[in-house]
Amino acid sequence: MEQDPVVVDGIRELINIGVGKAAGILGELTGSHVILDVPTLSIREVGDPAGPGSTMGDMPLSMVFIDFSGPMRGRMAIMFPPESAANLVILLANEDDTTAEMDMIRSETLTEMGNILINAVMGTISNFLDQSLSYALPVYVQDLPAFLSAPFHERDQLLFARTRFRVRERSVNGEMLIVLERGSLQPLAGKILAVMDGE
Amino acid sequence: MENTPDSGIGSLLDSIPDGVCIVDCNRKVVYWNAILAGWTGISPESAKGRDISEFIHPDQQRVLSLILTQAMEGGGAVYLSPQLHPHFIPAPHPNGGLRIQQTIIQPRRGPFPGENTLLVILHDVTEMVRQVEAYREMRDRALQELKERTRAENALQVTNQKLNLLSSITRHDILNTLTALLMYLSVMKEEAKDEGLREGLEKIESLGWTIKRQIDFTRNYQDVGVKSPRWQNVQSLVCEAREQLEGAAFRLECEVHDLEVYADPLLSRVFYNLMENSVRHGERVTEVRISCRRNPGGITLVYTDNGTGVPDSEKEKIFRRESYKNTGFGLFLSREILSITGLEIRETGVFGEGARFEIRVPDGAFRIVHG
Repeated sequence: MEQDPVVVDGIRELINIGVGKAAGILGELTGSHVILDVPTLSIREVGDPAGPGSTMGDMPLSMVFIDFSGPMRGRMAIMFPPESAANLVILLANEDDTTAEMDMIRSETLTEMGNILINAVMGTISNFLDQSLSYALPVYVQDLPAFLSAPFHERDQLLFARTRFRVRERSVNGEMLIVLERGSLQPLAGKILAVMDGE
Repeated sequence: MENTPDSGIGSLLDSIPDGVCIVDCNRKVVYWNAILAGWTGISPESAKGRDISEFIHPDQQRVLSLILTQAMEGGGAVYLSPQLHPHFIPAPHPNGGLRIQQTIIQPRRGPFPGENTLLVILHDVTEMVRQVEAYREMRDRALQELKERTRAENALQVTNQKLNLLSSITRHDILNTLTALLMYLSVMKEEAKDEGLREGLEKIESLGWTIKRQIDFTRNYQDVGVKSPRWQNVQSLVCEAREQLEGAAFRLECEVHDLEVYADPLLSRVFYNLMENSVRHGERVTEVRISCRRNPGGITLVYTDNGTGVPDSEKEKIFRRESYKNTGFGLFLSREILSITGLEIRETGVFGEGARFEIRVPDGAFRIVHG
């Protein structure tokens, strides 16, 4: 389904503001200079084969997601190949260890990082909508199909952004995903178009 | 205090195995559960009404400000990991040190502005973290040992290559000299008039050939165990070995389809050697059969021929090094090749009815691969 380019630009801008805030918080928490980029954004539908994780191969993904409800209902996630996830945690936590293995300690750290990022992005969107959302607790999983299964349906929409973290001159690529239940994109798209029309 | 949980919920929060406290919008503690009291030694009565920052770890004060701002302004739950925030509210662990915590701070919106609260849940993950750290230490030790072993193996490989080169050159030189010696002996034997001298020369010649066999043996033995073992299809190896004996007239029946064994890459030479032995010593061999049977703890590959067989007195001797007489590998080297991955060979035939070699393959060193 084709989206108005103005809406896509508007959402990308909101996500950029959110990740900017998240980068600041992550930097404060870890004492590292963290830069987060959102180079691309696309809007697709659940079931699209070129959907999330399609560029990351067949390996299980390390991902953190949070469900939200209110005027918009859905789920937001950040996802990485496990080795990238471990490397990101090593950089953020200043670990001496260089083994790229996602154990319980690292998955907890990634959960905190994902929570900050997701809260910042969704907070920016809900502030823009001027409506508050309710959030569940963050969940760490390594199973994309489980993530995309219930409660989502075909025709629910995916906001799919590719992310790049840069920490101490090293970069790690990941993907950021917002799944919106059918109809949940309309209030956001309407607000963006209204703002752009100067209403 | 309006934000204090009623006695039912308070008693429920006291019963869960996590530390729980509730903070109002002025950062004052309004609830402090029994577990948190037990961990910190601070009673609920003493904690209530005090600023939460009094209980927070000094390193976490800055984080606390960020969290309070985010949470009180309507953000989602805050999740603090044990790696970045191990001791949000410091509490000693009975086994020493401080409890390692996973902290969740959940904002709760009140009915009116200024009545928002934060529910702080501290989950003790000390044991889990210590187990992961112990696992990491173990893994790091294993990786270090592996690194050292790899380095030692590389060094050994280089040394082995040098030794092989040296022995190859030396062997070549000795064989050259030996060939000349045997040639001179042959000429001298032809020309010798004296019978005693001729007999002496024949003995020297015989000793010369023994030396040559011993040198050949070192060349064959040098290759055993040099390359890593690998999975090999038995049927293919047997067929290859049969093709190499193209002049020999015997029928081969091989019933080990889809069987693979984990063995030294020289395994094909074992089958070649068994067939060559059948042809060389079996006298009347017209049929060779290779089959397999399952036993507790593994399988047995059975090689039989319809030749004369091996006398009982020779059944173990044929595997000794002294029995190495001809070119090829001999049964001594065959046993050596098999033993590298735990395979065992023995002769179990009845003399007069043909040879029967059993190769015992333990579990883990064989597999059936269909297709």
